[in-house]
Amino acid sequence: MQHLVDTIKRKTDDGELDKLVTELDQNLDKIRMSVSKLSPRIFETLPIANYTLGLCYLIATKAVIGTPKEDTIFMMQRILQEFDVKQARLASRKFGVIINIFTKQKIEDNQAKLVMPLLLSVLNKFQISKHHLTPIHSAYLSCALTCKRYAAASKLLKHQILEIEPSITGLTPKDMLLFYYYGGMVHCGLKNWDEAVRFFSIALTVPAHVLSSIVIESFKKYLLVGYLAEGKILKIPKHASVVVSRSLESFATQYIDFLNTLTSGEKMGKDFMRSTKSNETFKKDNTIGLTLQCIEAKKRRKIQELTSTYLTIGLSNIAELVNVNEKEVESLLLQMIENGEIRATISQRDAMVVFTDADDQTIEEAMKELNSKMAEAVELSNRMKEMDKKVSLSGEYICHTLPLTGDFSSSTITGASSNGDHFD
Amino acid sequence: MNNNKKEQIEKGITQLIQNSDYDSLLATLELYDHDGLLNNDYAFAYKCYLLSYLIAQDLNNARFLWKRMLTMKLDDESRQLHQVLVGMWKRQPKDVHASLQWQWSSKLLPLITKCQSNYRQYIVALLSRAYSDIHLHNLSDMIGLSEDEAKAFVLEHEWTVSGDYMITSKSRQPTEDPSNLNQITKQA
Repeated sequence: MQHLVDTIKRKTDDGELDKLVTELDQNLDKIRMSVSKLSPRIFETLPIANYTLGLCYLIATKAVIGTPKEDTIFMMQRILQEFDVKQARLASRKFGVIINIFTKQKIEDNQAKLVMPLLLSVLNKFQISKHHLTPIHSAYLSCALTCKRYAAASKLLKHQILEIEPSITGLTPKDMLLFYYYGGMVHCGLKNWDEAVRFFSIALTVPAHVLSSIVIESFKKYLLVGYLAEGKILKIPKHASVVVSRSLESFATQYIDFLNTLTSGEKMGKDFMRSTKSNETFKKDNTIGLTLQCIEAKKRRKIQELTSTYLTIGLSNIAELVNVNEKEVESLLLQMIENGEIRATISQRDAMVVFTDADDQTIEEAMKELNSKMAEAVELSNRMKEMDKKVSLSGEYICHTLPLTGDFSSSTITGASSNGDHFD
Repeated sequence: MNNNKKEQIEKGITQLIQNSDYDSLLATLELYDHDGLLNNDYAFAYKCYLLSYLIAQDLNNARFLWKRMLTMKLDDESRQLHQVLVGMWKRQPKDVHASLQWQWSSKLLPLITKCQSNYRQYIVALLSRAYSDIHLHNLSDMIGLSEDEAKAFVLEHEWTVSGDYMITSKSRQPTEDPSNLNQITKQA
């Protein structure tokens, strides 16, 4: 242990952080054998702000051995409160391990709500930009979901994720899957069905060689919220990996059967509701709430279908077609108009409903929407240009294109060497 | 020390209520909640928090806040606020108005009044959008006023009367400002 501490001290003080990373990576077994005696007293010898990199390796290694004890949790908390950003990014994988284990332990100890401010401050300090995904995102969302702080979670989800740089952030495929799964769950809680579908579909399309249980759970929710958002059974996205698209449906047969019944056009009685509530698979997966909402949504879908056939229709006719009583129809229509699901006008005097076309937007509203869409388009276009430049200057791209074009002009070679990339 | 912190927080909340700054009130309470500054015995703060969500018509977050409040010791006033939330969630305006008729503590009254007023305006706007005509009795139930008061209220919103029915105003008025039209033309 002393040798390790001396190495960390010496190499950090000499500014040889890259060499320290290499040496620590090559001696993980030695670190594993030495950390049993690691205690918070290490911070007296290695202050966190100066020796974050080395401490990340030591503490992360100790944390993965068995269940972390109180002093290990304390050390993890201290490092999250006082870390040096540059060193933490160099030890990003170990830093990510600390985040995940610390969060998991705090959730098990019913302290998720106390940890959220710390995780948010770590995120604000550690991330390169608001558009970069890090392991801290999924940890934060996990805490938010545990203690039902959906408002806080939705603030995090407002920032669009456009970059992942695992070498700097320590992001792993599991972190990414969890972020999109938890994000989808947050949107489910807030009934933002379109966004929930988007998040779950991204989880399904993360490149994979094996099927993950996170992807399976995402798919189940994807099917249900897909029905809530679009009134149909969504297909697995075309760009999902082969292993995902081939085997996923076999894990969600009950959901597919359930949705097939909903979309079949058959009238569903109270038996169907009862059997859904008592379905063991839905209970185990905690999806009873979503399935019941799907059954409710079926009535609204039927009413929506009427808008393409009728201009005017009586409330009693709707009640008959949708299989509910007249009072409930009026209440349902009001709800749908409130949510913007249909555009209609009810006349209580005539007991009639007139389905209308889209309301004319005021010019101000149109301007606001146009300006916001244009700003989005301009930002996206700028990002595309940056990405295009980055790719065309990367050594890997040039290596691939040179043999094809046979172009050995200096302009193509200069680009690669300018950012230090190495040729094979 | 804990009492000092509680007093400071309550003082801040009271100030925001006095300034009628309900958006800042909600943002402040969300921040306090996130940073773990609201202990379980800060009943007044939590009631203001729940009311702030109701005023903003953010029923999802109000619902989740209530689930968190269930771990606290709840008084009758908190439970009554929950009834208001339930009425709003189930879209039963009559129940909402009935639940709002209660002996509220004086500190909460400004928020209750605001909640009631906001909700009434919200319902009238919704009814304007959804109905061409509505029976006076149903209108009175939905906006929580007697029939005469309800009639007077909606007449101020440019509705008209036709026997026992109130005819709604479809008050979407396109802006006449020509500069907006010019801008759209340029961008096209």
